[in-house]
Amino acid sequence: MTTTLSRQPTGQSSISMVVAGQPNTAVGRAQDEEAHYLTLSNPGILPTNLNRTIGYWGNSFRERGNPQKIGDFSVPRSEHEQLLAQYFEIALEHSSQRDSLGDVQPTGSEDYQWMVGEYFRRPFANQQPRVGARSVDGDVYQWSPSFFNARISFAGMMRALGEAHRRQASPEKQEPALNSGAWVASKPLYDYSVFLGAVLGDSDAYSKRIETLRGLAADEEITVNEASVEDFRYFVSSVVPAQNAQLVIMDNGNLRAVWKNEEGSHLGLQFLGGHLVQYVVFRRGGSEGKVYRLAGESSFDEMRKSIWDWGLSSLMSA
Amino acid sequence: MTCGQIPGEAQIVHYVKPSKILDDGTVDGSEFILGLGHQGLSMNWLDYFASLPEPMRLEAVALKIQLDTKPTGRFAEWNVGTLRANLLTENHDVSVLHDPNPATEKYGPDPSHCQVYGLPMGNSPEAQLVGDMIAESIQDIHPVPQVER
Repeated sequence: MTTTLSRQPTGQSSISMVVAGQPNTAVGRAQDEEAHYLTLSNPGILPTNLNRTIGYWGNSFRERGNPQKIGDFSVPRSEHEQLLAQYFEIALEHSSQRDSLGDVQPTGSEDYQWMVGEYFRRPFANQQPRVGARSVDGDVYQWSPSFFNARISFAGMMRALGEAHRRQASPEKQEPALNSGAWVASKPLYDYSVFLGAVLGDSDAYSKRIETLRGLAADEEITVNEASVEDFRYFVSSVVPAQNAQLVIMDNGNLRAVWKNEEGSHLGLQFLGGHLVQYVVFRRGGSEGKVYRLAGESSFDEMRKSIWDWGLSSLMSA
Repeated sequence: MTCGQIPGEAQIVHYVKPSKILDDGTVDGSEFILGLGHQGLSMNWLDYFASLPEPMRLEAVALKIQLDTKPTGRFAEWNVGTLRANLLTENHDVSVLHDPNPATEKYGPDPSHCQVYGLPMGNSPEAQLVGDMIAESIQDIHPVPQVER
């Protein structure tokens, strides 16, 4: 995992993580010592006084009394590391683009620090995370989310902050180091939930499957509708599916996602572009095992609402 | 040229493209949406090769089918009567007609070809719903036999 580090300017680099905590929700983490999996656990302690999502990691928890996935869930360590690499790559790029040093360009080395902050409700650029600091020494990709610790309670979305430590003079030229040691926070970058959600199987984790489908589409002379792909990504980032969608590419180039549950119900969504879906619902339920079938087109907003109306919360939460 | 109704007790198969196979190995219903200009859904009548031992019937289909099959594709199999009955629950009265294909420039004749008629046309919600019902009615999924053509 050298992608991130190779982007750094000359000079030594240090990478550290800082973690913040807040009261409200607790989750526990246990690390699988022997295998190539990181095991996280969610004891399901949720606040109920806020009528909004206070945070989510993939499928792990959600507010509003929706069914939540409680218990341990495993994350492939290699995927975890790969995603961390991407994550830091983006953070680095963001840091290098910001103009926090004004007109003074760095002339010496740059060091980097990353901060994962947990904020109350939502982070603001100038809000300091309530930090429970922890550094990562050595291989940053071995980092695992320490805030999944039952002893630390917190609430809120998590964001990563990219920080660049820029010495504005070159020590080798014996220039005084301006702002040496000043760590300037960049804008919040990404919801950490996006990252962990990706590890657990939402939008970013679909990338491999979408790439596979692109290859199959090329073989079958299908032109992929990029608006459909974008819509799919947008949609899955706005819901909390109970499991991963299965994806196919249709002959018209649209992505179709299918969610199934053990009762044999399923929801199929063809992403038409323009935040529209064509849906097919098969819902099995009741003692008679009757199947309710529905099909139509709707907007994303209507679809999210309908998931509740149709009793499909076992497939996803909107 | 259609030659008549395939009996309800017959078994039919359809070649499924790799792009329509879901992660769990099942087939997505979008495979069964009729393409533009298609009146019916292409199938192959396994029992046409009834003189062959059962395991060889699918090989015969794979040998004659007028498609470039991929090793990662699949053949999905239905019982005609079950398929028709399932679709009838949503008021789709389909018929399965034997429709042998003559030889083309690229392929030899496909004598077991048949088609399912009476499906909704185009990429409509109704067509997708019926496609999903067809997918749910699949009895078996087979790898593509590797045959020399």
